[in-house]
Amino acid sequence: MSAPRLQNFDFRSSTYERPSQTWVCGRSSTGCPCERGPDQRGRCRTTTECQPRRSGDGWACNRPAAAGGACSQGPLEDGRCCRTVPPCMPVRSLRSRRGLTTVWATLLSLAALFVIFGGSMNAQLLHPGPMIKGHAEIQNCASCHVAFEGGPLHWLAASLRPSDPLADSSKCLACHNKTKDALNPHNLGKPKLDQLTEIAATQHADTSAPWTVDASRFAFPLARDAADGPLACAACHEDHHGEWANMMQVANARCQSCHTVTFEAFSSGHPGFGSYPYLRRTRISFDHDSHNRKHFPEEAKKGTRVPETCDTCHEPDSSGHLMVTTRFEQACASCHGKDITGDTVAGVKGVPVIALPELDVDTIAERGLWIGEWPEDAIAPKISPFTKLLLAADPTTADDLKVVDELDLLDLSDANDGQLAAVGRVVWGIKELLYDIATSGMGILQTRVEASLNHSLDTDTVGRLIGHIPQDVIVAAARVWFSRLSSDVVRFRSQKAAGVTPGVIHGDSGSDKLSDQQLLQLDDDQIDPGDELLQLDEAGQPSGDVKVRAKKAAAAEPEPEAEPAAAPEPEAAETAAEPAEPAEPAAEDTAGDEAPAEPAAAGEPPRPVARPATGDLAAAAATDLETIVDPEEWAEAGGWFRKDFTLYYRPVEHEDSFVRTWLDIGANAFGTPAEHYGEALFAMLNDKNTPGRCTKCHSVDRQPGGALMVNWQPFQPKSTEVPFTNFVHDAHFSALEDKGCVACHQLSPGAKYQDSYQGQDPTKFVSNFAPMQRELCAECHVQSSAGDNCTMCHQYHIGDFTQATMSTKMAALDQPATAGAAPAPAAPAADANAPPAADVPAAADAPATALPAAPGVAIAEAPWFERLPQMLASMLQWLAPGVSHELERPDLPQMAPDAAPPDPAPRADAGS
Amino acid sequence: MNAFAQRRLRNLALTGMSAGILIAINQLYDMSLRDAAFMNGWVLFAGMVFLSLFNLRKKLNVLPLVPAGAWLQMHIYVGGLCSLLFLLHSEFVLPNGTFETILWLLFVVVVVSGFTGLLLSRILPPRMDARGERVIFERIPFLRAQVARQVQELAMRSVQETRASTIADFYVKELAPYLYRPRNFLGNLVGSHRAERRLHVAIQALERYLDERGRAILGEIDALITAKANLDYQYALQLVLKLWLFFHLPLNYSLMLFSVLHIVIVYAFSAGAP
Repeated sequence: MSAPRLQNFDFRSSTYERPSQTWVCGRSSTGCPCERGPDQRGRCRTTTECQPRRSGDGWACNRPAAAGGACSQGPLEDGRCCRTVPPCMPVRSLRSRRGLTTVWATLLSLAALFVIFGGSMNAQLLHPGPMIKGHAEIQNCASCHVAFEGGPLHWLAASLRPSDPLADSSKCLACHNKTKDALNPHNLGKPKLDQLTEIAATQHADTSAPWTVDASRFAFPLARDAADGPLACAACHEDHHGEWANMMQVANARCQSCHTVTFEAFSSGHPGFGSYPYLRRTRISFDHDSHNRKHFPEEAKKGTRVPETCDTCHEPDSSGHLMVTTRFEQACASCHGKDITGDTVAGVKGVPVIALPELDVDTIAERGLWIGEWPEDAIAPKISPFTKLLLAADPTTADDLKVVDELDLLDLSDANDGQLAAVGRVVWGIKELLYDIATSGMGILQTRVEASLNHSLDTDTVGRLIGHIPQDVIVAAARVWFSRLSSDVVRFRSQKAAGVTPGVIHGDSGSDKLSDQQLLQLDDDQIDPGDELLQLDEAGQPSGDVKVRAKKAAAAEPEPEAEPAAAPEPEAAETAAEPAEPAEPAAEDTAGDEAPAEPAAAGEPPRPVARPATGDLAAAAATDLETIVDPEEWAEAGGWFRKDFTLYYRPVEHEDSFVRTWLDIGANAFGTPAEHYGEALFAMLNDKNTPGRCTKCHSVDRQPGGALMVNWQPFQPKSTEVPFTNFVHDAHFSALEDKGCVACHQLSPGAKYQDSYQGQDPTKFVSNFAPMQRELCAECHVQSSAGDNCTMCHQYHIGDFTQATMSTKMAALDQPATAGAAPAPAAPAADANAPPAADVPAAADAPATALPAAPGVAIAEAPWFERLPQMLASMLQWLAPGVSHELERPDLPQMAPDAAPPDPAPRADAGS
Repeated sequence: MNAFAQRRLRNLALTGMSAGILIAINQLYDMSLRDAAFMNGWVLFAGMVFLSLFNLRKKLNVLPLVPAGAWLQMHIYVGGLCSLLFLLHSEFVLPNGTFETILWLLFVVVVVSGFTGLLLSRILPPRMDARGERVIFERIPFLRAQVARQVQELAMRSVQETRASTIADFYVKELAPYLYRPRNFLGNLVGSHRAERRLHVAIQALERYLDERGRAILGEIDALITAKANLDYQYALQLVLKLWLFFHLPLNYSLMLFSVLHIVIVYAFSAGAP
């Protein structure tokens, strides 16, 4: 049987529903609701089944048909219904319950908002989420948000205030301001940006922007050119997206919003690489082409080990980003090691450091110039650049050196008196130099080099400058070259102190000329009186033993000839077979400060005391030994050796500190008054007949100030420097297949690579390799494959970023540790980290209201809908002009319109 | 194509176009080195205000505003657009702050409840039409009481007419608990009629113990049981159609309040984001 129809909608049998009313009859659920229903306040108003109506003189039942129609009893006499019903308990309608729920939910939400916004835990509750790991220690919102200070009312006011794009950025810079122009695009100043923009616009004018960029610029143009000024950090970096969020992720399109040159994608429209990565000549001059085609095959035939693969010489750095050059010993030494040690040099395999130049002693003697003892076999044609630099410490000698450079020291017959006097002073300078080094130690070298170059040197540098030369080398040289250096110098200085014009002092005229043969035949006792340098005390004075021995020698030997004319001629000395004519009385030699020898008689020019040749001294010494090795051969493994009247240094190995330091000294002399010494040093150390030959491979760059710089190292990535383009080599190894490095680095045969090293400008060069092709990269670097994000290859913040460091005061070490004390959070130091007003340039006095509209601030003008809070504030101000709707601005660091962002005080807890 | 289909197609096309325009504007705005969250946030808030006005419109039925049906249509499609804007605004990531999580949950609950209501209003009415008589929700308690009273009367009458208490006993034991309150709520929601069938089976099993008159009365009772089952079905489905608003409406106002605070906080701590 089908179900009966339950509802009737006719007037008589259908009840009237009131679903919109707040209350409904409590009897509805029992199936017999009343007709009237409750009142608006939820009270039952039905006491009887009907409300009788008057009918004539009586009353008639008015019960509706739906409730059964008129009852049989009818109303009472007084007009009341006879059928009373007990009152019900009205209930809320469903709609009313829903409304009530809404009201309660709203009230609850308001209460929750009040707690969240104004409660003591508001910071925690409103915290929008965890920050990245690097910001994990920041506990105070005020460390980053200027508006946080002041509480909820300030927050409310701040929300109604125009946004200051740089106020919070200054908080960021308290820790991150490690470079200049930190807020400028690419950390570059406007002039540089303008320059780059002009270059880009000129070189890549044919590129076209994608329509999206044009549309964006049309719909939402930047208020000002972004290159005009700083950009808020928050324009690109947003935190509170979790510990592992990438705050540096930037969409490609955002990069193009500022750039003059825009394009569709890396594979479509990206400008070519130009000369990248060959932006300058390599620091190490290495012609890949000639080595590959010529040198390697030739050396291989000789059996020399030559590189077979690129990784013999190149290897990834620790980060894997760059390919760096391996060590010299691995890559170059098999062929070029001999260049350094001088094995391939035709002449003497050493660098002449101190050499006694050959002098025209006859002319000097004829002109009455006393220079004391001077070896007649000194054969150096010129004064060594090293010696010159050391002599130039005395300004007078420096001038004399310039005069001497113009002279032929082998023939001074044409020299005038002034020039000859200059020669004399230089000669005495050399002797004093030797004497001073031997008697005063290495400090004299430091003093002289510092004086010559006008800058100070540390002990390490001095040590490298002298090649850690043993004392014996100097003393032995002085002893062999000069038999009475000490007495000569002491006498010279005493006369100089007495006011006698240096260089024209008439010294003794004793015959000091001894032939090599005579000298070699001297026994120790005969040499000792003049060889007090071997026994100098610490003060540089002859020791007592020397004096005693000198007296003994004086007593045992004949009186020296007082007259200069009686001095034996060198030729005579050479023919003398016996060592019967000592050069000087020992007493005079050792007591030069007591009684200098009488000068020659007036009118008689003194004879220069010629030191006999000692070049064969070693051979003479061999008389005691069966054989003696040649000094040059002795220094086969490098180091100091003396040959003839020259003291040589032979480079020990690659990176020889002596040669390198002197090259640096010479390089730094360029652009200074001592430049000609630097030139001379450079010329000698780089001569192809001199061991070392460092600059054959190590290029020399001219510095802005004029000084030179030897590139001792190949390109070394600087850990603190962030380049604009970043290529990761090791990520590409798997994609190179069989081609290897050549896939990208293709040689450019015939390129004038070596010509690039003729000058000293590293940017003027011809690369050994053909330019790289963007299309090669674009084979993989498309959006669907290896990706083509701008930031994959390019960095936004570029430059040299200072390494973060600590500046803990030593006093902190004395503070006792507190058990369980938590480290002080970084956040409370926010105010202290803010740049002091005094540090802020120019705009420090500008009114605070000028901040948001500071010219030069590259912010996008907010559309109208984003200014709704400000409009609301204005409206409130208009409605209630007497009431302030904006709270005081907190004191913010002022930003000068054209100035770089303030450099905040360094933080002890600064992180990178 | 009927008018309803045309209207739906037109509205969907307009909504799709609007969504495309919103996405494009959002992208272009983001490309201009601005924070697109400010732009899409304000558009989203405006949309939420518009959606909230629908309830106000229903209360102000005396004003000559757009018909409520048209409002409802706009409410649905703008709600869809707001959902899209919400995804753009939240950058398709889950929030991780306390306040933002509350705000996110509020929006999600309001949107989900709204779309649930939309879905229910499309699914349940046909089901109600397909089964028995459609009744006014407010009348269901009255009708249920009426059916119960009729069954009780039939049970009483069966005692008098059949001189047996078989039906009365069955009424007391099985029918009375079933008739006097809504039953099988969840079963009705999912379309299960097992409880009703069980009663019908029991009634049929009782027939062999009755005479002709008794079977006639039992047939009437069986019909009333069917009517009661239909009332329960209508009640369950209509109650669900009304209950989703208990989430949608109250939480919407909470959402609006939280959104205002969200705007305040964002502008106070925007860190200079343009």
